[in-house]
Amino acid sequence: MHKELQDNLYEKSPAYDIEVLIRQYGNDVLRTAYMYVKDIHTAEDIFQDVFVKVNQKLSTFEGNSSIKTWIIRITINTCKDYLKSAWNRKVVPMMEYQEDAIVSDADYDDVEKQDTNELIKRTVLGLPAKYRDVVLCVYFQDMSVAEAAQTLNIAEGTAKSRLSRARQRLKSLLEGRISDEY
Amino acid sequence: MSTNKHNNIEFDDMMLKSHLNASLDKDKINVSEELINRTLAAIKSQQSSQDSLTNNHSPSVNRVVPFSRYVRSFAGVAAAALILVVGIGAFMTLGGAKKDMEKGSDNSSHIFAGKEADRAESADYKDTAKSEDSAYFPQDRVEDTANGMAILDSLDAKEDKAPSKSNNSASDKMDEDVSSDDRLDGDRDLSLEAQHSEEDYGLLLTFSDILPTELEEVENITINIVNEDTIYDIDSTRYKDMYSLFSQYTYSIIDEPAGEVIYAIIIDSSKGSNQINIGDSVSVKDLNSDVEYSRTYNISDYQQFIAEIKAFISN
Repeated sequence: MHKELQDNLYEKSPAYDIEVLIRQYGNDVLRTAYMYVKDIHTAEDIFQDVFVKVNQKLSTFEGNSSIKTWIIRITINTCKDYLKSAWNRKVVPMMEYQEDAIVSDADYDDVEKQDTNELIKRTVLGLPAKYRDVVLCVYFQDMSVAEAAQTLNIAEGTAKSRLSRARQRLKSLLEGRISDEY
Repeated sequence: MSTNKHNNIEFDDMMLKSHLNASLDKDKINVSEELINRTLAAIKSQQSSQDSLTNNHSPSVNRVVPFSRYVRSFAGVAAAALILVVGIGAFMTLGGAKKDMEKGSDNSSHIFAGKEADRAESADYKDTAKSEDSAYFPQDRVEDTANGMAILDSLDAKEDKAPSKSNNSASDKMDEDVSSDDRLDGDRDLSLEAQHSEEDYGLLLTFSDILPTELEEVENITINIVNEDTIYDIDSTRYKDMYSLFSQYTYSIIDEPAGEVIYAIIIDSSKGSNQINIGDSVSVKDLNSDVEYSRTYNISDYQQFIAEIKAFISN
């Protein structure tokens, strides 16, 4: 009986090699973590935590979503756990404030001097968390709205409306501020 | 900006991915071979420690940290120790002068001062000064703490609570069982929930303790007079006045709900929205999460507070 269950599990989830997963999805994990915590050393710590957890939980992965979606979901949770701790609450807001401040009208002149990529990154990261999450899932991680909703544990309709509002906000923030090539 | 219209909301017409990746490439945010090796070593170490653990103990995450990070940590500790020594020196120097200070002049020590209030109220001027000193530097903590970090912590009662709890919290979070990662946390970043713990019960809190939104972050404030079903959109020039009004009072956590709401104040910021309900007491609700979370507080001078709110709205 136990063997049957195990066989079923293996059928559902092919044997993944952790090193292959690290090499294949490592950049996605590191970059996602970086965009949440905005510090490369912390992002690297989170990277390690994520793949240790992935390795531990790999046998329970049932293949209901893609392996990448599953790993990104663990990454986002790990980042949120990190950001929720009070210590980081005291450190991060200043950084977030800077991000937010940069996209405000008053300080736009300073931002204009930076290149388009940097401006877009800062604008995306300056979005309210609920909008930023769904933008990163759909546009940065190439998830569908349904996958993003599953990853963020919200209803698909909620994900859709947040994405729509995030797009409106991004467009209004970036309108006229970047060149036509964008 | 592209003017192309796409019905498919999933289509990245703003090319965000390529812009983000280009920016991250520029910042050199890439996985290095060294990071991969460190991670594989951490996984290996995790597996071997897991083997040696009993079933009742959850495994902890053993990160492999490069030597340069240890050097940075050591430098941080050395800097903290230096600040501590300078701080103690400054305190010793100012200790005598402190006794000449007027009673109750420092609001920043209100939390510890609250604990000392009974003693301080019955004491004469000299005793009060002594009590204030102990509010800054509780003697038992100084003696009990080998590395003296508690002294640094107690310099600011507000600072004291967050870092000490959070240091534990941060390491606990990283070390907790992997199974907890399956639960998702909604959208609550920097939430009210993280703001308080059981230890906060009975303590006097300031407005900034109960509301995570800083004045500089406020984007919009509306006040709803519930009985009259009237909503006032507060002018941005008056945000500071409203924060000042709330900051004049102290708050203590209670378990009861806020009762019938008289005023509902919604504060929108770049980080999200919070609602302050004012009834018999004050409750602060986090509107950013799918799961409702709120906390209720008694306010130091309720009648005066209500009168001031009323005056603020009528102005």
